[in-house]
Amino acid sequence: MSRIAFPYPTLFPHVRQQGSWEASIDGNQRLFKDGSGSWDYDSQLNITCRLPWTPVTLFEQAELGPLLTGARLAVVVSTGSSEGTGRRFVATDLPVRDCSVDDNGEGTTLRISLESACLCNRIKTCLYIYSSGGEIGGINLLSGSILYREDATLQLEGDLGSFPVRSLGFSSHNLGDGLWLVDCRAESPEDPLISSVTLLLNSDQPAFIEQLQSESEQTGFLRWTIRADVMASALSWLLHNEQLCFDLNQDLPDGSLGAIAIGWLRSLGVESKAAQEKLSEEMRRDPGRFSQRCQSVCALSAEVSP
Amino acid sequence: MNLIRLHSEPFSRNGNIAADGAARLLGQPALSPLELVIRESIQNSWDASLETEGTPRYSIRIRHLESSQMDAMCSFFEQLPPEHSREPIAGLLQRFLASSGLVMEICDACTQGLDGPTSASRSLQEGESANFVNFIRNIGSARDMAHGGGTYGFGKSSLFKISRCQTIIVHSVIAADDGLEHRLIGKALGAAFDHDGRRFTGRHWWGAPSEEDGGSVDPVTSSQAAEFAAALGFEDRATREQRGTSLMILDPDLEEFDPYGDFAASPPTEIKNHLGARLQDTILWHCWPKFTRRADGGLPMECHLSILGDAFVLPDPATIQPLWLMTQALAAARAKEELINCQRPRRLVGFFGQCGASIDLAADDRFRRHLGESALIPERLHHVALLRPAELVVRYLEGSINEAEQRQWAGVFITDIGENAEVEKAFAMSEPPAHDDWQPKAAQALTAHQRTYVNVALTRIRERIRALSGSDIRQDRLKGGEVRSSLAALAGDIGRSLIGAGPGGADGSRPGRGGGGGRRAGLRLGSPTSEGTSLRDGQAVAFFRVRLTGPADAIPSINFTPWVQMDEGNKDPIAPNGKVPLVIGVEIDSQPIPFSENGYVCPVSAGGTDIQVLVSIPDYVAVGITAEIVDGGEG
Repeated sequence: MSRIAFPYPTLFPHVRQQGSWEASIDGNQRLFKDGSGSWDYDSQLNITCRLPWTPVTLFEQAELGPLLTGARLAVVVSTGSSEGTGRRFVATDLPVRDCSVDDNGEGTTLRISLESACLCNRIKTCLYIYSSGGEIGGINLLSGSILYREDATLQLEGDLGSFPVRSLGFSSHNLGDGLWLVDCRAESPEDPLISSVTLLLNSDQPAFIEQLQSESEQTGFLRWTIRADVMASALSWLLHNEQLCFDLNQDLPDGSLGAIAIGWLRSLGVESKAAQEKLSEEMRRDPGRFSQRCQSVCALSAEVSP
Repeated sequence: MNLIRLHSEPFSRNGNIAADGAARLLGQPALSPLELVIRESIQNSWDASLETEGTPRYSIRIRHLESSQMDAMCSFFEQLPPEHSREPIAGLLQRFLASSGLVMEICDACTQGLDGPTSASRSLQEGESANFVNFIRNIGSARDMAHGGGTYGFGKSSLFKISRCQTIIVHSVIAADDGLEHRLIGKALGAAFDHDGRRFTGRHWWGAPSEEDGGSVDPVTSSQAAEFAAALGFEDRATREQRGTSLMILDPDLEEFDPYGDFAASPPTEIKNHLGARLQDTILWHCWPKFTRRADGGLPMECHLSILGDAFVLPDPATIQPLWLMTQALAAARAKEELINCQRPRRLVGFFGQCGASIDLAADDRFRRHLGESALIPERLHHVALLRPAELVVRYLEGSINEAEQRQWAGVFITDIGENAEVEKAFAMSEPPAHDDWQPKAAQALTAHQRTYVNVALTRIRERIRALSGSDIRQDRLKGGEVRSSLAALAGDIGRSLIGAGPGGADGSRPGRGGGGGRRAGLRLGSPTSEGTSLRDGQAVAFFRVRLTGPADAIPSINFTPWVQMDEGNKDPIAPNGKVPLVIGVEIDSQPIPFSENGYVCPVSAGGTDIQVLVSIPDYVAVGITAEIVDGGEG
């Protein structure tokens, strides 16, 4: 369906249902309308468009059979937060006749692989069927005339909080061995958390990363351990770093290292300057107890043991 | 007749700082006594050279006093603090006077000497120097000197600490109206003691009786000072170029001369070579910038060493592996090629230079051969030297060898001076008394901005250290062909657990939109959709379908407004050829609908009505229509 009429016959009036657009992100299948869930620049992203029609039958229904031979199908992808600042590229462009028909003979499925590193914010996929020119019912069609168009948008980045996690070869970075490292660096508690704290996984230990990824958030002991260690490490660093002058009573921007830390401290029952100093002392004198308290707080989503 | 008198400082009614307290003002630096003495004395000599012409000369002479010199020494210390008090100085000096008379003489020349008034209570004239009273009399005087190396003046206590009898003799030659003036005075820092019902601080001076205050002493001056200095074996200072100061440290605590130490049975040559290497190694490691040539070839400072009569030449740091890396880094920093800036507030805080080399380069072993593992200059460098504009090494920040690239490296950071010396003061004030660190947190006198300058500089330097060490984990680059697997799902899980909402993945939800408005209750018009295009009487005609729903008895009037779709997405009533699209017919079930005054009257049938609108296409353009109920016509 189209809300505008072209000066020549098109396929629009004969398409009763748009295609179903799906994304496979690191193997997880999701409809475009459900967003990406979790995506990053290293994600494997495959797009599938299931059209409930085949081009040949559609051209026949629309009585555009003479245009079929020269017609092409293209998918144009645009990405970025706006048309003006984003990037646009042709993901596929092939003769309509080359579109494979599904096994049941009733539809067509398009598959596109996209490089995540070239994308940001969202992708808008625009499917075009266009003509190389011709004449239908006495009306001339110029080359490039659009016969059908539909689009869909996949939101890649949203507000489902994501913690900065990266893999890194520890040995090649003079870090020796180990499984993970919580790297903290900020010049102020006002700095965004996502640029201040990074969980680095040792890519020299691929089995560890594999095990971590295969664990469930709710039942994985390894994930529980790491969550607690991230919290303990970041809080220790923040409270013991005299240069940062962190104060629990500061007004800090949402998403900042300090604001997130205040939330963590509250979950540990620390809500006053005096309690903050007491906790700092505990970190120094009894780091094991502090570490266990962080485990306790982080256990909320891992209380169901496997 | 012996002119030298002892003055032991009594406590005043208002109290004084005791000598043992003054000695502790240096804090607990991490450096050895010899390192502290060398750093402090070179810094003092450098500061004293800033207002004089020519290249300052720094020298160390370690020697045993000759018999005649020992006689002169005994004469100098004829008066000693009372023996029966708890003050240790008398006993220590007596032991020294009975010994072989080992002294360590630290001298500078082409410097201004300890000039200015000799009485600390006398006010200074404008522009008058206070070098003498600050060095000899006062404790912890601030020396706020542009490009200077010191700030507190507590470091001089290191000179007394390295003396086993806590005593030094100072001979200084300064410019005077009629030529040169010699000043000679002795000083000891002992311990507070009681004598004859009075309490004394433990600070002692040996000099000429003062004309001003009862009991106090001034330096011996003029020809008497020159003669006494010569008798003690001080360096000859007869010309203007020889102006400067000699500090004679009595019985220096040097391991090479420890009668119970490792060198007790060593031949003199071995002792000399070991001590020579130790002095050279220490001077170079702590003060190499002062002996590194500038871009114009000039040398900031000369250095001469003499140990038991043998001269030792201080090597050019640029010829020592791996110290030459530091000299290269210094050249880059001096050239101000890489700036270190503070963003908030915006200020240049310093300059950085760096140099790297293979770790396979064999280290120079000329010092290590004698000193072994106690040598200060490492075999491989992975250090950044922190300097203020005086180019004295405050301290080194260490990284690690870049194992991935098999490279060692050196870096140099020099602070900028800044407007009104604001930036340099920030760094100077953040130094502890030993000038061996920058500790902005501990420096209460710093403003918030000044503290930021130092913190930012240290942060940026540590970032460079990570990069040079190959451990800059934030700047990771994938190697060719390496594919990194996504950790997005894990990041999402941890993020949702630890952060909750925030930047991250998407669930497809969008911000809620406001409720629609303007529709007539009960009556609804769907969006027009294109049904196709065909020719009618040679005219291209577009067919639109609009669905009307509502009460079955309603007969609303509807207006249809056609428009041309422009490239930019705008709707325009006129096509590029100047013609306009027109509604040429409205039909329901192929039956034409009449146009009334208010619009097309379209009856609503049960289940809805499909209205077909025919629009002429005036050009090779796309067209659309806007449908609007203008009269509800509800019964």
